[in-house]
Amino acid sequence: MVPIIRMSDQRNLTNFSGDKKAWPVYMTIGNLLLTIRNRPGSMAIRLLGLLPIPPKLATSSRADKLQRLINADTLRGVFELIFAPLNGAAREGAPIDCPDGKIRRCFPIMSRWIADQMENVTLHGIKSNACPKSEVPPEERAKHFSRTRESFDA
Amino acid sequence: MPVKCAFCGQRYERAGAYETHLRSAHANLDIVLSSTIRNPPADVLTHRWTDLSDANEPIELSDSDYESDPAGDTASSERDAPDNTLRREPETEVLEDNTYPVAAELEDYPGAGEASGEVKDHKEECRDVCENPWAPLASAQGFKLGSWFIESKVSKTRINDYVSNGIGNWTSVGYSSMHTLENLLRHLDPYSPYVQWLEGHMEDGQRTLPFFYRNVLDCVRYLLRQIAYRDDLVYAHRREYDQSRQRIYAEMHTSDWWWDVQVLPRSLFYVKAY
Repeated sequence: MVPIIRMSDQRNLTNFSGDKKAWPVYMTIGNLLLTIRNRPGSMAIRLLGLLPIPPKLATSSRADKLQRLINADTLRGVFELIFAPLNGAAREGAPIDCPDGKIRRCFPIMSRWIADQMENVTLHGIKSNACPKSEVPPEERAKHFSRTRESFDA
Repeated sequence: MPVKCAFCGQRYERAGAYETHLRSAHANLDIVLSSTIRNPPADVLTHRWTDLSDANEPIELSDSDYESDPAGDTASSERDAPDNTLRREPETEVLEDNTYPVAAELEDYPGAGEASGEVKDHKEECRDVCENPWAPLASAQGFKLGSWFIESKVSKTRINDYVSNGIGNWTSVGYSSMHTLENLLRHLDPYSPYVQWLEGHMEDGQRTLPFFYRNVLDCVRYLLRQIAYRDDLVYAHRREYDQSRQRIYAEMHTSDWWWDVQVLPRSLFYVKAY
């Protein structure tokens, strides 16, 4: 099994010649020991893609809201295109050459996506104050203890 | 209080330097050492280690600040040098970190990570790498000169000028112009066909935006193909336990997640874009 770890972040390149941004997605594999994987000199992290940057939206008018939805949908389409090669390989396995001279039947599996909060907001299309992991609504966050006490009282 | 190395008589003032020395010069004793450091058997050893930690000095990771007899200095540094090359072993890699407990018991998932065949021409490839590590460049000098040109961002015309002026010895370098150097650089990475860029276009209703991506499966092939990672790759899940049967979670392949996915029926594997 080959777990694929991906990471991404939007990056401002310049503010002067037209707000240029880059949006790289990197990938590495979980089969490498973490001391090697996380060492910058080992070149274990490959650039997987440069995502399209949607145009800047000025005000939150109704048309822009629609545009936001379209952007989120197109981003989804882009990811589906990028990860399409994994569709068959994850189920059936792909013979991959390994450096010890053996061929192994590998199942590349999506494992983790490393991103910060704003990146998660863009990727998942959630509100910026919502949690990307759990289903707790934004206003309910950090109320865990009070809720359990209520349930005890009841 | 300087500590004398029990194995070679070297004197060390700092605990960090002594530790590094132990790990580099006496790598084969690693298993013994990491267990003794965690459970010091005698009071002598305990005193020694507490004394060392009391000396409120910044711990250096270099092995260079040892104090030894002036006469034995050069001889011992020569003795250390060849041993340093021996320390890279996949098993000792884990043991080097003292905070990481030694796995006493291992449990493997049966059948996972088994090889299904041999890579064609793998032996030839390894032999070529051993015979000429500078391939496709002819020599070390050619490689170093080329990388200096690239890293210092010398322009192509200046490189051509440099060659045509005949400065330096060009017989052993293996290229005679920027053009031939570029051709060689194109073959520098033998697996570069795996990481070709693809271009896509996205229409968002108003405009078409280009974006670039690589085949993710080929990226996986590329990473798994690197001979440099040969000793640092794991292919299967493994459960690690210490002496008291406690699970050790240290690497990704010792996690529960890997095992859970490994035992999933294959029909349940799905690709989630994010």
